[in-house]
Amino acid sequence: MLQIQGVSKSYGMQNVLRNFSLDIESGEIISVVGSSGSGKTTLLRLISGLEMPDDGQITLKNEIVSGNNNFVRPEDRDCSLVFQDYALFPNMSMRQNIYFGKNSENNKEKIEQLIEITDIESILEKFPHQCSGGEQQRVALVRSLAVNPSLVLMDEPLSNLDQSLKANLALVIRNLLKKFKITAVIVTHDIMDAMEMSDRLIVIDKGEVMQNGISNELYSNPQSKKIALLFGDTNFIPLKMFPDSKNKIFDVDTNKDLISIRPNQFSLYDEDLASGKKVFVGKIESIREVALEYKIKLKCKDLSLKVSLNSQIELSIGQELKLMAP
Amino acid sequence: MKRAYKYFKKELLSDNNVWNTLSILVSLIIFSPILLIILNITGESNNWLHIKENLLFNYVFSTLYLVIGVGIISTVIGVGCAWFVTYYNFSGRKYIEWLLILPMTIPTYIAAYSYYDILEIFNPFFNWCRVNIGLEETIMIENILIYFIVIMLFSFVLYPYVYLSSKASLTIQGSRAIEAAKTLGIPTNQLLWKVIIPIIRPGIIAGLSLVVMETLNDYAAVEYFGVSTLTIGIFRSWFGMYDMNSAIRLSFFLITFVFIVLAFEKILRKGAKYDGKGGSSTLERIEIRGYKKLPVILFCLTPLLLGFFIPVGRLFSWMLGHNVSMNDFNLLSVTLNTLGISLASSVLIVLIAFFIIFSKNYFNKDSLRKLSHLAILGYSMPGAIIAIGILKLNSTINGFISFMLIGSISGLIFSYVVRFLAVSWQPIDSSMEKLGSNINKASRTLNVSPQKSLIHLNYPILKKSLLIACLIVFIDISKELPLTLILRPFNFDTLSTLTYDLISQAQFFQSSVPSLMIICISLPAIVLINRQVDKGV
Repeated sequence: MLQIQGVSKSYGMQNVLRNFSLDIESGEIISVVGSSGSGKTTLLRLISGLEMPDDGQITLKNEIVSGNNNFVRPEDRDCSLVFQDYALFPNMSMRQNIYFGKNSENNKEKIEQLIEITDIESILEKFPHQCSGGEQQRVALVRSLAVNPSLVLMDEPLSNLDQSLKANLALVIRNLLKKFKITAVIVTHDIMDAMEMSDRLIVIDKGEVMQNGISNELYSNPQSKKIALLFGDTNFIPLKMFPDSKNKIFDVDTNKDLISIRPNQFSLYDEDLASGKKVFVGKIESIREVALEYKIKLKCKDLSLKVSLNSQIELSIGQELKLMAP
Repeated sequence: MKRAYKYFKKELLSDNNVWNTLSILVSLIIFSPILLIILNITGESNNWLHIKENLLFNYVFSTLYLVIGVGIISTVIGVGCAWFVTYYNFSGRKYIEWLLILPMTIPTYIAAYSYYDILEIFNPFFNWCRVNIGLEETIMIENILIYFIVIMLFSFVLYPYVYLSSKASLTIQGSRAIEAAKTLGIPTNQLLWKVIIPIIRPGIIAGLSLVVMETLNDYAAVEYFGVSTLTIGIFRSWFGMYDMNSAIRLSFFLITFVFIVLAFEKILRKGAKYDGKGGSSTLERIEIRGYKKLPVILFCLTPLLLGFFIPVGRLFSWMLGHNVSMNDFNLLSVTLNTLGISLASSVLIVLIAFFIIFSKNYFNKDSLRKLSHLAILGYSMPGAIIAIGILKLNSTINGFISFMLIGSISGLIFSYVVRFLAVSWQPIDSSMEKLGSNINKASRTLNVSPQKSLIHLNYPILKKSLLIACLIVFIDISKELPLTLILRPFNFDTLSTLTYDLISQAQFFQSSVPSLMIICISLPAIVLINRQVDKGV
């Protein structure tokens, strides 16, 4: 469906994307994850035709849309974009927004279905400023799908929403895209959002792909400290302490191999379950209780560990703790 | 080289359509008079040596004195008034806040004419000086006094530019900063210097640069008081000596002057912009009562009195007290001329600005973005320069086609487009920026045509800004003098040229009627603009 081959883009002296390549199958939902300035929004603008690459080629449905002395205008690309700020037209009602795209009148049946699934019937006659962020987001999504695109691009679709709305909307987006078999590229800085919505994740940094794979693979086998940290707090422990481990991270700063163990992957020592597991013993350096969990900093012989444990047991600073690694 | 090749390749590949092509073409045509001045700077001139040796020094320094003096005084008045009406509450504040913009309706030359006899007040003093100090010293004192009077006159009618921009930035950015400063223990009497002035500096500089441009543009007022600025020099070279090349060289000096001002503005602003995130409505105004409010009210009323009420009052008294007959000149036809050409030109200018800004925003083509900056250079150029540029353009195109720009309505309208496109540009462009470029990008990715996007999306959203732009340009054109004076068709008078002609014939009392007419035309437009700006458009 979409092939990006060796695409580079720079603004002045700043290289935003470098030799970037990506291949997306029809019907696949891809999330591109990266921090601010990693080049993910530029990638969307290049795919949609709002920007032109300096080098490389973008092919959409077997047609070269950018590169090789070709450039297809955004209007003619058969892909629509959902903007981070939704970009709803303030002078139009939500219904007019949805039906503003070319030929959207011809997709009435599909649009009515979309409206029903996203549960926006009650706000169709309202104007954007009269609606909540979640409602605006759903209308922006329906508007982009109303023109029947082969590819939909989404720029941080959940970033402006409350936590309570996020999970529900992530599910709505995924179900909608899957129901209508629409290929999608979603960019986000939140890997958890990406995991909820997509089939495959691509982590980028400084305009280059760092890792590409399904979410569980990235979670359990991150290829760099940076990727491991995207999923939240973790402990980087020298690989030599776990010689049998198949997963490893090469730390470019220290030139050492490490493994990542999440704070919640540790458990209290249990003789019956400990066989073959690495055991850590240390003194509690700091402890705080957060949402029925202890967040502990444990000082061991050679290293300091961050550990999360169930708070049903009594623990205090200075107490010795014996833990098992997974 | 490779970079340039890539750039041009990209520009050639992206969005080559009628919108961009036309916009680039129109931008280049609008820029052409200024370009011709720059290209012809080395043209031969018989009078240049004389001008250089005897007049240039005087032209440059007179301009400098005037600009510096007017800049300082109008900043003090504008910022002071803005500060008082924004942060203090006193009886009549609401009215004063609104009335302070009124001097905007008075062109500098009408203000100057209304004080035409001001020097007579000083005659006894000059006589005394002549007897007791000496003739040369008296002439020097007289010159200093003339500069002082002109500087004060200009400041009293031009300060609203600084007042409005300072008030806007005080309202947008100041209140939150004041709250923060108060919680940090900054004493109230230090707020203005330590917190407010540094924050609203970009606003002050923006208003100040407009004051400087208007000062440089003036011809009739400085001519009347005998101050030889560069603009006067350009007029004398062209009208007096029929020496276009000398006029072009002087124009180049003035352009350099303008660029120094613009560069100064950029350096002083250091890229600062209003961000609109200051919050505006929460700050409580400090109530001042009793005798304490008197100096504040006096400070705000003085410029209003000297810049509006006295000139208007005098014009009225001349009109009513000297039995000025409307039949002395064809007032109706001149008024209709003024209204007609101002309206037609302002609508055309707004349409051109809207078209180019829309194309720039919708297609985001880099070459158009860059070239459109050239099209709006005109406002920085005094009318005299644009007139000389158009005279040069006229002689250039006459080599190819027989079309007269000079002395034709179309030529006059073209000159207004060159000069005032930037005036309409600013409100439209900033509204489009506020709206966010994503609106048009969304429209593109929904496969909507540019025509549909322009008519159904951009026009309805921007129509209030278009109206404001149209009104501002309308006011500027109805007051405009130098361009109209040089380029108008034979026997075509506007209210400004009629005023100028009457003053040239020393018919001060008769000039009150067209002068008042100019003010009457501008007044409703100013009121409307102020109302729209207060509504936050």
